[in-house]
Amino acid sequence: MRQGAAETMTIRALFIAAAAFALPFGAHAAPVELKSEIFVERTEVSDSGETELVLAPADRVVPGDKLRFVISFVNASDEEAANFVITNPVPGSIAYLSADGPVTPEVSVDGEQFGALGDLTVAGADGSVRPAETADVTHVRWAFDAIAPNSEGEVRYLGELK
Amino acid sequence: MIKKSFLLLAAAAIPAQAIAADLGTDAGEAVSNTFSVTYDVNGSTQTGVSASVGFVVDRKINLTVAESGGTVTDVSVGASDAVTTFTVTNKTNDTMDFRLTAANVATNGVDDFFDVVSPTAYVESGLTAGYQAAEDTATFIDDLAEDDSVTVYIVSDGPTTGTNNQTAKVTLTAIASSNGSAAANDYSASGANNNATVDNLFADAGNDGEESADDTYRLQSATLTLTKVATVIEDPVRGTSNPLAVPGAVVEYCLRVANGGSADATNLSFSDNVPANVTAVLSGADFLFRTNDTSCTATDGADEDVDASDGGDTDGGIGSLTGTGGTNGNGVLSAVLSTVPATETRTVRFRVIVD
Repeated sequence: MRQGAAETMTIRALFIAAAAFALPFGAHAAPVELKSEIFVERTEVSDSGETELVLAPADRVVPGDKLRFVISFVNASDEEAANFVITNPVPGSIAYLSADGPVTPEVSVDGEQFGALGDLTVAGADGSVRPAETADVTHVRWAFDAIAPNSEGEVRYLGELK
Repeated sequence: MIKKSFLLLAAAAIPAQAIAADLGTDAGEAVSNTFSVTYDVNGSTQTGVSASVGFVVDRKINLTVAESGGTVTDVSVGASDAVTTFTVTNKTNDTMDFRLTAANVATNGVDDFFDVVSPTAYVESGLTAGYQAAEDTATFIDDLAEDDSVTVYIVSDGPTTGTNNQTAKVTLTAIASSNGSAAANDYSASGANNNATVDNLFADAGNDGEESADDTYRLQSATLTLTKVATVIEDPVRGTSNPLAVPGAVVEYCLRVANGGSADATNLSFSDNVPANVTAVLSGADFLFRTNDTSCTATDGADEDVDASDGGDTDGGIGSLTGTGGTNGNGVLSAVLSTVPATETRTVRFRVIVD
């Protein structure tokens, strides 16, 4: 399974191979279904000598591996899902690196205040305040105004296993 | 519009992770990613928390084996317990066993000229620094913590034969193992990877879970040459002025042992038959059984030694001279030198009178 990082079609094809969780909401019919997956990003040198980014299922993960967390959603209903917000705490053993999606992701260093990383600060033990860095990120959030009926999309973030 | 938040619940679902200081998250730690969602449908708030998706951190097997000290270990023919030293370091994100093997490098005539006997790997117990045969008996590394190192010795016996200053190499190999006592427990790269179990990834230099290093033995032997010199000391006519070996002349035999090797020769014993047609001098002013000279020149040698035991002497030589017996019936010189140091010379002298 070799592909360029941005080739969404191929990534979606990989979903079939990866262990995936469909997420039905509640007991009553939920208009939006979500699915979460984890892939390992590896840089490998192909037979022709080219460096390629390889996405693999998270079956073999060791410290230092880059992991791509993908949350995909499908609004299969005829209703619009308004104010659609996905909030993902970054697991403690994962160092946040970056995020992307159809909307600009927001991050947080405390789980309460979200924004662009450059707008956030971290208070040190001595009371001094410094700009937040990617290593400080504890949560990532995507806030959509609305998910249109019968549409789908996905958001992603990249982290490294500490 | 009021939204309920499931953030708190999501956060609570994330277990505390054990992070090793240097080598990353421990193998076997479960990592799960959980997110929460809120949205409104027709003004009605929907919330949810994903079922967590996760994996178990796998074992990133890495180790190093290095020769310690950069020194060559001297070994002599037939020696016991010649020790070389290595360091094995566990760079895995898990506590590890390592199986050990010690082997001779194939003789190549370049830097390996002989094989030592029975090279065996032993692990330093930590009780007493340096190899202790009574303490350092473990033959595999048991439960080496992440980023910890342990000293491993290869202990060998000397060869049965060899040439002075030739070298021989031995190889220590450490193999990642779930239980270092048997080869059957060596880790292998898992065939069927599974995100719910701990798989193995070889991250060592050879990507095979085993690393090795060489160390060098050098054969140190004594190389002895024995020279016998006869010098006429005096004759009955000329005395000590250009004496000739005529009947009645005093002749001194000097046996010189030279050690051209790089190891001391110890407990060297030898004998010499008093020649025919002479009579050994067994007492008196001319008796000169000397053991501590460094050559056979007339002026050499400080200690004059008339001893059958080494009592009171410091020259390390004992011996005796008889006037009868031996091949010629005229007596035998017997001598024992306790030590002939490397590159040094010792002599034994005795005198006879020509019949």
